[in-house]
Amino acid sequence: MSNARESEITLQKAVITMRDLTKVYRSETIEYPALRGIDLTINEGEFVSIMGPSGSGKTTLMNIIGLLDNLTGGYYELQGIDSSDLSDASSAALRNRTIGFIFQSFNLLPQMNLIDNVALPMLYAGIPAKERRERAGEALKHVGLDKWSKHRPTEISGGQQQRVAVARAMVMRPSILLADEPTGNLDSLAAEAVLKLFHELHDIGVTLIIITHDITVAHHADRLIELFDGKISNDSLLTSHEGRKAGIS
Amino acid sequence: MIRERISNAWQMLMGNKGRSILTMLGIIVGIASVITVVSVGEGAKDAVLGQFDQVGASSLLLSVSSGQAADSDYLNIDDVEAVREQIPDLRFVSAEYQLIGRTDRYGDSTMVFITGIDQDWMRISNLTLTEGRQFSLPELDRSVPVMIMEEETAKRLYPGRSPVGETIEINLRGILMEAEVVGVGYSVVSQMTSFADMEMDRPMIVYIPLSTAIDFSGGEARFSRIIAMADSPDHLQATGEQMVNVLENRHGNQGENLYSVTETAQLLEQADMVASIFTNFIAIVAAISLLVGGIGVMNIMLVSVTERTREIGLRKALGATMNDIMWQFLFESSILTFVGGVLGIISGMLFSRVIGYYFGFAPIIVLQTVVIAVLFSTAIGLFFGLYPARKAAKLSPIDALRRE
Repeated sequence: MSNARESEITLQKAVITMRDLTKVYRSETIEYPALRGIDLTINEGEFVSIMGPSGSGKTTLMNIIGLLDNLTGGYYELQGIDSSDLSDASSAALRNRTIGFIFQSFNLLPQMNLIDNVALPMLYAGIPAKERRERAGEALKHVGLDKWSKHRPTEISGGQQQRVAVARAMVMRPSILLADEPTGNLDSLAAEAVLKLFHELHDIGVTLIIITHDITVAHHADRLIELFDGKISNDSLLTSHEGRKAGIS
Repeated sequence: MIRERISNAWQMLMGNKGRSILTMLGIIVGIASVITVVSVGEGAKDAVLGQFDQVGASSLLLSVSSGQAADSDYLNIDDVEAVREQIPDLRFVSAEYQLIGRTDRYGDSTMVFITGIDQDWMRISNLTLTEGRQFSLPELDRSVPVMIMEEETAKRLYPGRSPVGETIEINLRGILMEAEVVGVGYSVVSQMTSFADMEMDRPMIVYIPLSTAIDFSGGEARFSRIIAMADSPDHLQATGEQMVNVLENRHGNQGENLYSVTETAQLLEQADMVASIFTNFIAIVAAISLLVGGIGVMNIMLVSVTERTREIGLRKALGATMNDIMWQFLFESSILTFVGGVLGIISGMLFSRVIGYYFGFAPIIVLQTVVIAVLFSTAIGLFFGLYPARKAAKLSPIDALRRE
C-alpha cells in the first residue's frame, strides 16, 4: 500500500495533482518567483515529507495545497476539483472537509478550552452543538487528553497542545493532513508521541504531507520530496518501512 | 447560526475581559449620560410644571407694573370685591397679600413670610392641611389672630411634634401680634418659595386670614396682585381684559397700561419649552460623547484585528469564510456596545436617582429613551465595527499563520 510502484499498478486515486504550477509574489518594486514549475501527484493514502532549505518554496507549496493561497500559473486539482474554479466560500468549505492543518506553533485559541478548540472546524461546517461536543470529546479521547477537555491550552504542555491540534485537524475526518514543522517546537519525546499519532492516521488511510527541516522526522514518511529554488529537486521513495517502525518504537 | 455566532463572539470577548470592559467604558459613559440627562430633565420639568399644574390651567394673575404705578394705582380690598361682582365668569378672586415680619420665638430674630388668605385664595392655591384645621368663616371675617404654619417650616421648627396650639408673637415694624397656630399645611405658593430660597437662611412661612393681615398692617392694605380662577380655560384672554377694564375704571387710569394679566397656561407652555430646549441641548452633547465612545470601539477593534491575525488565519485554515470572519468581528463589536448600552442604562438610572434625591424630585425614566439608547449603541457597534471587520475578513491567512 505504501509502495509507490504498487500504487502505480493499482491506479490509486490522486488527491493532489499539480501541472507546471508557478507562484510569483509581486510587490511594487520586485517580483519574486517562489515556485517555478511544479509537477506533482500525491495519491490517496500516501505519507509524504517535503524538505528544502529556507526560501525553497515549501511553505508556499503547502499554502497552495491547503487552498490558502492562489497560484500564478499552471494547474492545481484537489480531490478532482480544479482550484481555479473555487470561490472564497467553496474553497473554505473544501478546506474544511478535506484538509486538516497542523502548525509548528500549535495555534490553539487561548480564549477557549480544549474541547471548544477541537470543535471549532465543526462550527464552520454547521454541525449542531450537541454533535460537535460529542465528536470533539471522542477526538480528545483518541489523543489521550479527554481529562483536560475543560482546561485552557496554556495549562498544558507543548506536546499535549500539539496532540490537541491533531485532534482538531482530524475531527472533520479529512482525507489529507497537512503538517508544517509539526515537531519544530517539541522535545523528542513529545515529537515521538505526535509522530505515532500520524502513523495511526496513515494506517487508516489518511494522506499525510509533512513539511520539515528534521531529516529523522522526514524519514517517517514513505516518500520524500526535496525542493530547491522553487523546483522539485528530488522525489524518491523511502523503502525502509521496517526502519521507520524501528525508529519510532 | 446566529446563536452560534453570538456565543462564539461572546467567548472571545470573555477571553479578554479587561480589554472588553475598557472598550465598553466609552459606551457606558455615553449611554449613562444620555439616560441621566433625559430622565433628570424630564423629572425636573415634571416637578416644576406640576406646581403650575396645581394652580390650574384656568388661572389668571393680574399684576400692577411696579415701575410706573403711583400709590393710587395699587389695588385695595374693594377692587377685589368689584372684580368679583362685575365678572361672573370668575369663580374665585383673591388678593395676593404678603407681609414680612420677624419673631424672636426661636432665638435670634427670624424672618416671617406672612400671606393673608381668604376662602378663594385657599381654593386657587390649593391649600392642603396635614394637621389641625382650616380657618373658620368667622375667623376669616373678623380678623382673628390665628395662623396656619407651612409644612416645611413646622417640620423644621417643631421636629417630631406638632405646633398646633402654640402661640407665636410676630413683630411687624413695631406692631406686635400674638397668633395661635390652628393648622399645618402647604400650598403651591409655599412650595415655590421653599424651592427658591433653598440657599437662604430659611424664613418661617405662615398663613393668616386676609382680614387679620389687613388689620395688622394698619388697615390701609395695598395689593400689587390679584389672582383669579375662571370656570373654564376658554375665553381666558377676554376675562383678563375685563378685569383690566374694571380696575382702570375704578382707578381712572385708562390706557396707561398699568395692569397686566398672565394666564398660567402660558407660563406652563413657556416653562415646558425652555425645559425641552435645555434637555435637548444636553442630550445632543451626551450623544456626541456616545459617538466618541463608538470611535473608541472601532479603534480597539482595529488593534484587535492586527493583534489577532494569527487567530484569523487559523480560523480561515479551519474552514471559515470571509463572511464568517466579518460576522465574528461585527458580532463582537455589537455585543460590546449592546452590553455597554445596558450597563450604561443601569448606571444612568442609578445616577439620575442620586441626582433626583439630592435635588428633591423623582427622575422620570422614559422607556422610549431606554429603547433608543440600546438600539443606538448597538447600531454604533455595527457601524464602527464594519471597517475593522472587513479588514479582518480580507486578511490573508498565510503570513498570519507562520508568524511566530
